[in-house]
Amino acid sequence: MEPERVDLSPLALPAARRDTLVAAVLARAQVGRAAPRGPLAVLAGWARPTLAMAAGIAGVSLAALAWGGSRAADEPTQTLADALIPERASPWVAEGATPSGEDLLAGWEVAP
Amino acid sequence: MSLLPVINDDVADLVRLALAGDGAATERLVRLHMGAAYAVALGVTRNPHDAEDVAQDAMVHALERLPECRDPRRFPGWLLRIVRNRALNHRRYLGLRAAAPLDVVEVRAGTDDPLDDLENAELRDRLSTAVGRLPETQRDVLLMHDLEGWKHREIGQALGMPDGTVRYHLFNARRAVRADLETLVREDD
Repeated sequence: MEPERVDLSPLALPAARRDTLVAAVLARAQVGRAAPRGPLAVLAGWARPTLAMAAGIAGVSLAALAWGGSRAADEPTQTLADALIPERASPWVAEGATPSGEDLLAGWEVAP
Repeated sequence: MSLLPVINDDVADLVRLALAGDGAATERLVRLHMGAAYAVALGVTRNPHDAEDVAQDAMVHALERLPECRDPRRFPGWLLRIVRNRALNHRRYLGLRAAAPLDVVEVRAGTDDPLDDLENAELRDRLSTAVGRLPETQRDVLLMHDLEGWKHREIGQALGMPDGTVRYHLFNARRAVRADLETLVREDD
């Protein structure tokens, strides 16, 4: 036995309000405007944030380079050769001379 | 006044026509479902003005995303899910009304007698409170059947459930609302 129907008419949308709402919806809506997006469209949607992020990274990189460059200018230049060639051997390298056995021994003893 | 029933095949045709740019079909589709959208929104927001806003926004959103409704025969259920979600968001946004009765008595220009308006507002308040306490499915079934005049079969197709389940939910919803109304009346007295 089904319970008697509940009178819900006080909750009903009045006819005049329904007309107003329908008109408002039709004035606002463009059917299918937000069509489903394909994979390419979804990827294209990432173009802006990706570009923005790339621009941000580029800005930070440039700032870091500029800051590092200004610091490096204050310090004496250190080349790879400076790091690899011992100070005692520098004159031989500069003159293109071959050290004698005694020079090498003397250099060996002094080096530590 | 109930504009439904309409068989779901007709709804599917209206959806297809609306997608093809048929303005008359779009208007018919909106008109047919506006009452149900409002009823579901009212069940959640429990405020007529909020319900109108939610129903309107949800309907606009649904029309703009109509191509995403994969099965046009299920348009009513799809629409009402949008309405319910928007109404819940609205209620969450306002941060109130979930359990409280209407704090402002909504008096619409309905009659010339303020007492009648007040009585109507109180009745609407009681009803919306009772309906608002129902579980979601029961509430939708009750509103679609007893307020909008949809048939069991149409509700079943819209909500994706057998006719028997619709009857079951309707039975429980009516019983719960009646019991709740009696309690509310006793509390008010």
